[in-house]
Parts: sequence; C-alpha cells; structure tokens
Amino acid sequence: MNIRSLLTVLPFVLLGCAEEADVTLYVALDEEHSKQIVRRFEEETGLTVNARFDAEAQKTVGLVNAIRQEAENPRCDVFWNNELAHTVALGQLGLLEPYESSSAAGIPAQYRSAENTWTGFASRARVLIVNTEALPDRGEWPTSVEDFTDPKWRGKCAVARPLTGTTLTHFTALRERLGEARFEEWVQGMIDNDVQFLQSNGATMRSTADSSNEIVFALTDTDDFHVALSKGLPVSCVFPDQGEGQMGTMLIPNSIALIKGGPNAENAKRLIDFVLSEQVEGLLAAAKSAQIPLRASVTPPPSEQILKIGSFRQMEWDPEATASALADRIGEFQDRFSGSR
Amino acid sequence: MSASNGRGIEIDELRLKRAAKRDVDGFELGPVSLRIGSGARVAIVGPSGCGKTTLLRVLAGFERPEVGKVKLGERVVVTEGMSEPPEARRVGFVFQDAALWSHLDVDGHLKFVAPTVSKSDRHSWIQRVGLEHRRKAKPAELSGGERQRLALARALITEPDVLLLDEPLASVDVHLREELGLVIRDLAVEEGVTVVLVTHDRDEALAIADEVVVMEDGRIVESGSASESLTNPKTAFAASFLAGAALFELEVAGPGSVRSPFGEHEAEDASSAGYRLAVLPGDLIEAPTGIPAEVVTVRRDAFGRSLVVGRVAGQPVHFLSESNPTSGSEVRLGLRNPARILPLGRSEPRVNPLSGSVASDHGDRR
Amino acid sequence: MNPRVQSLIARVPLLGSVSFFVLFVVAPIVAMYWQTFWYEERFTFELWGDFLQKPDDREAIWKSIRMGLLATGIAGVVGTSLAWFTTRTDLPGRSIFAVFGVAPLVVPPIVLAMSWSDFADMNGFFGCSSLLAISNTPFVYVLARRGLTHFDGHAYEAARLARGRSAAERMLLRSALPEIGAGCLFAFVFVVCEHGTPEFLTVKGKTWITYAERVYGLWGKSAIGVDRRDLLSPIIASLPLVLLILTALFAALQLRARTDLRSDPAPLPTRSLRRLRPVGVLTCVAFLGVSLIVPLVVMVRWGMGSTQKVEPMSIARLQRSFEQAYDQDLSAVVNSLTLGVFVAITLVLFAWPLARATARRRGRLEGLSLLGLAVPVVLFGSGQVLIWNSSFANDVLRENGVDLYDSFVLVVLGFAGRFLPFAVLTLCTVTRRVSPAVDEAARSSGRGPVARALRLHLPLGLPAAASAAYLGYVLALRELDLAAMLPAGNDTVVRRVSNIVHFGGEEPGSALILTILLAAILPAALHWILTGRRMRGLS
Repeated sequence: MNIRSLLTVLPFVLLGCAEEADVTLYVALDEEHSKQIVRRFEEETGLTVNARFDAEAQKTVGLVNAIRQEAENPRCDVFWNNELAHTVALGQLGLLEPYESSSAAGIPAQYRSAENTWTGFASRARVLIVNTEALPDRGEWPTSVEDFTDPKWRGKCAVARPLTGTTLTHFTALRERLGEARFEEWVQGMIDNDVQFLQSNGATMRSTADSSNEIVFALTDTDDFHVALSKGLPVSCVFPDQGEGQMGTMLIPNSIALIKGGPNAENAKRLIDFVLSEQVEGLLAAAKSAQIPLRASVTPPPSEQILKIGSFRQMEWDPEATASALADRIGEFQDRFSGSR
Repeated sequence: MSASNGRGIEIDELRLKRAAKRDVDGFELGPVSLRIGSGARVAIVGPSGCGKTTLLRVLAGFERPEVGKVKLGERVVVTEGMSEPPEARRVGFVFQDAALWSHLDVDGHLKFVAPTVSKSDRHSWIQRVGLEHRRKAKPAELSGGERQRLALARALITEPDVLLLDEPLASVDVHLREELGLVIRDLAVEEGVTVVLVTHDRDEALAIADEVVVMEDGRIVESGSASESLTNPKTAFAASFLAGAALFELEVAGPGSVRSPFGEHEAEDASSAGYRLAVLPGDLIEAPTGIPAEVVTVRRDAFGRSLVVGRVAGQPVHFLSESNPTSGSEVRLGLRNPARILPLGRSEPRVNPLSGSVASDHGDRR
Repeated sequence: MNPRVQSLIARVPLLGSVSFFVLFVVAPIVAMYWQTFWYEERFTFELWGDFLQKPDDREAIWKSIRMGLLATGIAGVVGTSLAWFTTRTDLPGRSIFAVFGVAPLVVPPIVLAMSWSDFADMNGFFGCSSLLAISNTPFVYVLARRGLTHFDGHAYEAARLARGRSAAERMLLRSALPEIGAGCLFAFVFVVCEHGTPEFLTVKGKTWITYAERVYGLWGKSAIGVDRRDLLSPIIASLPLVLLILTALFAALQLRARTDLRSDPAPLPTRSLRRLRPVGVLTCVAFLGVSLIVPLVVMVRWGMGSTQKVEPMSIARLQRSFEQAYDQDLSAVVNSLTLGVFVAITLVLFAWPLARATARRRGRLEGLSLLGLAVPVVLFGSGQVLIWNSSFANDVLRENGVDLYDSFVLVVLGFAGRFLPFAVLTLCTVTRRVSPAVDEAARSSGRGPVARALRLHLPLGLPAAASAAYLGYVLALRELDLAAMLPAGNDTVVRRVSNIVHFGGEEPGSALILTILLAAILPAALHWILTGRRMRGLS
C-alpha cells in the first residue's frame, strides 16, 4: 500500500465516507433539516455531496471564515447560508460567481442579487415570542419592536445580543432604515428599560417559554418560536409592526451562492437549482424550522401562527446596503453589547 | 542492663500484631521485655523482618502496640489503651535514608524542629556535626554522609532523652562509616542521651553501641555487652550473626557426647538436635593433628597477618594462619578452646557465613 | 544489524516527532502571526498600532485574570482537599473517590454549564468561576495527589516527632506545594482560555466579558471585515492571552521541575479522620455530585423529555431519544470515537520521543511543546487552514494526490498537536524517573538501540503512555472548536450536540452527550475492573 492510499483511503474507509465527492457544499442551516435535502439531491441525481455543516458555537460564521480563508484555493462549490447578510458580504468581496438559476423564478427581486451572485429562499421572520401564561390576554401583547422601550415592560423582555446571525442583520438593517439618531434612541431606550441582552435567539426563546422567569416576551426568529411551540410550551408569536404606517416584520431568507473558482462548478449549479426549487422550499416549510416560503405558490408551514407570505406587512430592507454596513456595525455593537457596561 | 533511671527505657511484655495485607506478609512482634539503662547505647540486631525496626518505631510512637507497657525515663508512654504521641516523647530519630525535607536548607531543618533555639545555638549544632560550610545547602546538594550528619543534628537539637537510630550508616559510603559512627557515639556521650540503634550490620552495631540485643522472629534471643556477645555468644544464631561463626551440625556419638567434623565433644544434652557446634574465627588453629581443610582465599591484613577463608566439610571457616598457605592448598585445623556447643536461636539463622552479615534487608520497614 | 544503521533507525522517532511538531504546531502559529507583520508587501508593525488601546480590552483582560484567579483558588482548595482526603486519610470509600476525582475531565465544560443552568439557574461571575473551577479541579487534584504521595513517610515522621501532627501536615503540604501550584496554573490556563462557558452562563444581564470571549467575538468581525485590520484583529488581540497562558505554563513547568520526586518513598502513615470524617465524606460526595451526578441527571432528564410539554417524561421517551440520536447521528458517534482512538495513538507516538529527548536534555523541548496549548484554538485551527490549504501545500501534496487538508489525517494530527503538552508532560515524568543506568546496563550487554527501545523503554513507559493516550482520547472526544474548523472533523458528536441543543433538540442531544460520557469513562472503568487499579492519571 503506498502513502497516498494510506493517507486518503484508510481514514475514509474507517469513517465510512465516500472517496471523492462530486460537489462540496458548505451549509449553515442546521444539519437536521439540510441533511435530508442533500440526501434527496443525491438520490435524484446520483451525485455525491460532501456537505460541511456549521457549528452553532462558531457563531454561524465559521463557514464564512472558512470560505474567506480558503479563497486562494477554494474547496467549497456551493454556500448555503441560513441568512443573507454574510452571503452578500462574500459577494461584495468578490468571492462569489454569478449564476442565474432557472429555479429562482418567482423569488422576489428584493431577495435576489442584481448581479446574480446570490439568491434568497425559504425565510425566517423576526417575530415577538410571548409567554401565554404570563400574558393570557391577547390584548395585552406587544405589537411592535418599539414595545421594548415601553416602561410597562421594564426588565421583562429580552433580545439576543446583535453580534451574530439574524439579530446582527436585523439591527444593522434597522439602523439603515431608521437612521443613526432614531436607532440610537431606540437602543438606548432598550438599555434604559433593562431589556436583557441574551446569548442567542434560542436563549431569548427559552427565557420566554420558561414561566418561572421574569421574561414575558422577546425578539426571536420564527424557527426558534416553532421549536417552543412544538415542544408544547406556553408561547405564542406576534408578527410585529403590522399597523398602518408601521414598518412591518423583517424577513431574513436563506441564501445560496456559487463559489468563485470552486472545483466542481457544473455539479454546483445543479445543486443550486435543486435547492432553489419549490419542492425544497416546501420541505423546509414543513420541517421543524417552519421556514416561510418566499413564493406564494409553495405550501406554507402548517402552523397558522406563522404567517404566509403576502398575508403580512414586510419590512423593506436592502441586503446589499445592510451587508456593506455590517462590518462597521459589528464593531460598534461589540463595543456596546459585549463590553463592560 | 541496669534498672532505669533518668533517661532509661523499660519495655514490658510488648506485643504487636499486623495482619497480612495484599503485598505485605503478616507479622508478629513480641512478647518483648527489655530494660535499657540511662545513657546506655544499645544495638538491636537481627536479620530482615525480625521486628527490630518495628520495636524502634514503637519506642518513637509511630506504631501502637496491642499490649504492653513502655516507659521512657520516668514517664509511661505506652500502656493499655494509651500511646503518647511521638512529639510528646522527647525522642530523637535518625532514619536510614535521612528523611530530610527537600525544600529546606540545613539551617532550615534545625529551625523547623527547634523554632525556639537561637541562631547561634543552631550554628553551633551545625558546627558540631561538621556542616558549617554547608549551612545554606539543600538536601539534594549534600552527600550521603552529610545528610546523615544533618539528620543527627536535627534529632539532637531538641535535647531528647532517647536517640533512636535506624541503620544510620547504611546509606553512607563504607570508608566514611567509621568516622560518622564515631561522631554519633561522641555526640551521644556528650549529650548523655540513651541510644537505641537498629541494624543488621555487625560493624555498625559495634561502632556505636556498647550493648547488643539480638532479635529473631519478633523476640529477643540474647542480650549482653557487645564484647561479650562477640567473643562469647550464648546462642548459635548470635555466634553466627554477630561473630561470624561457622555452624556445624552434630550427631549423637554416645552418652554425653556428640560428633562434629572436628571430632567428638562432650555435651550435657547430646540427644537434642537443637544444638550446633559454633566455630568463631579465633577458635581455629593450624594443627598437624587437626582435620583437613581446603584453603579458598588468603588475604593479608594491615597488621601483616594472613586471613584465610577455608572450607571444612563444605562449610566456609575463617582463621589466621602463620604458615602462609596458598589458595587451593590443604591445611590441618583444630579447635583452640573447648568446643562451643550452643543452642540454636528460635530458628535456623539466615546468614551469609562468608561475610557474617545478612545479605539484604529491604522488607524490614513496616 | 549494522550499528550505524541501528543508530540511524533509533533517531527516526525523534526526527518524526520534531517534524510533526514543526509542521503541525509551530508552522501554523508562526504563519498566523507572520500575517500581522506582512502588510502591503512589507514588514510593518502598523497593524499593531491600536493593540490594547481600547479600555474594554484592558478591562476584559483584567476580568479574565480575576475569573482565572477565583476559579483557580477554588480548584486549588477543592483539588488539594480531595487529594488529601483520598491519599492521606482513612476516609471510607477513598479508593472510589480517588477515581472520581478525575471525573470532571470527561464532562465537557459546556455540558456542565448547560446542566447547572438547567438545574439551578446558575449564572453570573461567581457561578461561572465556580463551574470552571470544578471543570479544572482534576488538574490540581492529580498533581496534588502526586505531590502528597511522593513525600517520604520518614520525612513526615521526622517532622511529626519534632513538632507534632499539624506541623507535619503543614510540612507535607508545603513540600507538595510546587505540584499543587503547577496544577493550579494548568487550571488557570484552561479557565482563561474558555469562552463558551462564560458566554453561556452569563447571558442574563451580561455586564462584563472575558478576554477569551472578546477575542472569540472578533472572529465574527473578521468574517465580514473588508479591512485587513479587521481580518487580523483576532490574531493581534490574542497575544496578551497567549502571553498570559505561556507564562502560566512555563511557571507550572518550573515548579514541577523543582519537585524532588522520589520513586520509592517510604509510605506515609495514614491519618485517622475521626471527627473530620463527615467533612471528608461530604466534600467528596459534594464534588462528585456537582461535577458528575448533576450533569448526568440533567442529561437523563432531558432525554426523558423534561424540556417539552407535549408528553409526560418517561423511560420510553428516553429510549426514543437514543433511537432518534443514533438514527440521525450514528456517523458522528463513530467518527468521534475513531477520532479519539487515532488521536490517542498519534499523541503517544509523537510525544514519546519528545519526552525522552526532554528528559535527557533538561526540559527545553518540554517548554516548547506547550506552544500548541497556549494559543486560542481558533487561531490554532485557522493556522492549520492557512498552512495546509496554502498554494504551496496544494502544489506539493494535492497535485500528487494527497489532499491532506481535506483528510481525516489532518484532524488527527491537528488534535495531537494541540494536546501534545499533556502527553509530553505525562511521559516526561516517567522517562525522567527511569535511571540512566537502566539504559546503560542494557547497552553494555550489547543490545542495540532498537532492542532497548522495544524491550526496555516501551514496557517501562507503558503505564504513562496509557494515561497519556487516555487523556488524548477524552480531550479529543470533548473538543469542539478545532473539530469544526477542519473540514474532515466536521461530523463529530460535540459539534453535532452544540447544534441540536441550540435548535431545541435536547432529547437526542442529551442521548449523544450520555453516549460520549460513557465512551469517555469506559476505558478507565475497564482498566479499573480488569486490573483492580486506577489509572495514574496525567501525572
């Protein structure tokens, strides 16, 4: 046996891995949901996919960092991100290859790159999760992100620290939309109102769902809310800012992109076509993460608390502008939310 | 050994039993009774596992006997249900391996054991054991002899009544043993302290002690003055162990007489098999009428004498020769004095007859 | 065999180890730091301009040090007490407690944190310090045990004779102090390195941050930064942490070098606890409860469905959790175990020659080997990516059909590089204790170096090698960050668990954690049952 086979074959045999994959996919969407879609693709095409998943502990930017570090010698063909801003940022750095997928038809232009470097699909909404034991009366429920600054809720509500993931994107987009002064006023209002800034959206969900806790509502993602709901916990969800003149609820879709210089471009395109298909959006809607399809033609999540696209007011936001601002904002937010106060 | 006064030791009917554990054999000490006079220097000798170290540790308070009584001076330190803690006994102890504290220097050792002693007194002790140039040295920097000197100063600076020594010369180079033995002896005399020394080495015993107690299998088999034990042992075991005697089995030759390779000897209790003919090195003389002996080695000592190791009936024997024989030749040997027909100890001694000392002693620490 | 050939063969292991060390520890770290000096095609300190300029940085370092000191203090007291109770006294059940003193090592700190957060809503600075202390108590415990058991019983008796029992105990502790101190410094290193536990435990009303968290947070910034300054900020920021850790590790080594360990000391007299007995039992039971039983109970409860309200908790649910976990993630379990075994073997293979060389050359290499442990794991992992996915590596290796970067081999070697210090330290103790006469005796009998290595040094060092291997196995099972950074290390249990639990899958997640705990304890338990003896731990 020569060195080559020792180094490559033996470990893969031991690990039960395939020898050389036809396409390499980096996935930030949780394995539980993405894996079955990858399997389905393999079954349908006969191609093998080398899927590398992100670690939540790496702040969902582990793969983004990996793609940047590997930029000289790309290993990844397709990047499937569970949010949008970081993908857009990769595009702005010139690490993505434009590709207009035939499956992308019907996806709103707001969630597609003008240069076709990335495409959004299956989305999460930024919603308020409410503890129904603490607040049994629907009339009492908060209805807007402005409610975090309402003295009525002093010390009783929570937001994830806007340092990573959807919260970072949400806060950055809000800053773009509201302008520096109003945004600053809102953030300071939250700090003054003793809003608890927690580790993650999962943590805000758990704090709210735990009735022994002082937290009665929080900002979270629909997938986290749906986890609580399916666990039978006493929670309900509010799509915020739906009133007349209000800004609407923010949607943050998954995104998929072709990596520039990736080793298997052709297979990569087939994979992108597959993931962007209505079939996959439907699967993601039906899964535990209850992703909201961006196309009205796709069957929405079964829970009636998670609203169907078109049935609620969406917040207008510009992914490109948000991604450009991300680098500046993250520094500010880090100083503000993770430093000593 | 006289009755106790001031700093004497009295041991009465002491017994101690250790059940066998996984790696250690069971063990039984006693009953042991012993009187040691104030200021006496006693060596307890015996082979590995005879109980001598255990006895010493009982005196120090490290072991608790089941039964018996121990008096140090006028104070009863062990009696039924009571065992005074070691620190209250006014006892000094020198271990075989010095047992120094690796993180303290010479002066630090003395300071630890005697915090109230003044610096100048400490220094005078350091001087008395000859370590004045090593005051700031840590144990790792000291030689084997220096370590024992420090251990000695550490044991004596607290002005104990009794100094207990556990093979203090064993870890010291052979050529330094005698010198260190003299240091120990002199200091003990100056301080008037009672000395109990445990050893399996005859030379070590004689260098320090005046009196000898022979132990075997947890019991005392003989005691007396060192010179007496050396020249006139009372048991075959002591003769062999202390004086380097060769032991020969006996056959009954007739009423009142037994036979050995040296001929027939008168014996009162000739029917008993529990006796041996003990032949001390000084007992043999070259005699034309004697029995034939093979010469194994011949060595000239510092006084110009020829020390011969010969073999009689398969047994090695030692004698001084005037005829200057060569290795491999044959001489004829006879007994100078009346034959020593001695009772065995409690069992067959495990002795290396060529050197006169026990071959090894490692299982002895209990 | 020709003696020249023999002596050449004898040098192969050391050469192999040194090459491994240079390639998989030194090169990645140096490459990472080199980037911060090579900017716009020239050597410059420009990027270091605002190093530690922010008050928040300084405050975070100060916070890390305070947390490190508090946790180390607790670990020191608990570890030393445990060691004292289990080595010196007639504590009932001390042989069982002796084994479980090292138990927290098999529980990943984040699992301990999750369990206590669930069990008692543990959080805040003190809670976080306490749990990190418990996690790292084994370092103090194992070394304190060594210090205490290697003290000569006669030296103890000499002290007791002169000054009584308490003075002798103080003397004993004093002499074990270098070992205890070294254990404390190891604990300190792990506390200041840890970013997951402080982050997890202090989520509520967080008003402070440790330096490790801050450095880690910068990786988020470097993911989207466009400025090179942003990209390299975590590397620059990590320097104080690296220096702090290196200082602590070197101090630990110095302390350990000063201990005079006798290979065959007279046994210490056992101390009867009498009235202190309940205190001793309580201390040991409490430690066991906090470090092992609470996490186990919480994990079993999670498995039984305690975090959901759709169905009542039940054994059947627990069974289903396991089925679900193995159904989805059996490959991760198999990968983790395979990784653990390979890391254990590799670690010993590379550490042994280094340990022997260290023992012969008085410690230079031992100090160097600490490097892999001193840098934040993210930096260590990124360095591997930088080196092994570089154009150079790709040209040399990949073009010749060896894709090291994407292979399981890199994961194993990376892990081995990271855990190398433990194995070197463990093996050093033994190689130092083997008298040169042992080798010389065999040499004069005419046996060649190969025969001596195989017939003499191998059997003599085997128990220590087994301990080092076990340690490597356990650490590999619980390592998250590094596994996530190397492509082929992606599918491991700990990474999987961190995601599952985050997405509300406490049931299968707890089943996976319980599996890993069991797998971690299994070799030690088997060894114990088969030989009736405890492993000698990481001494």
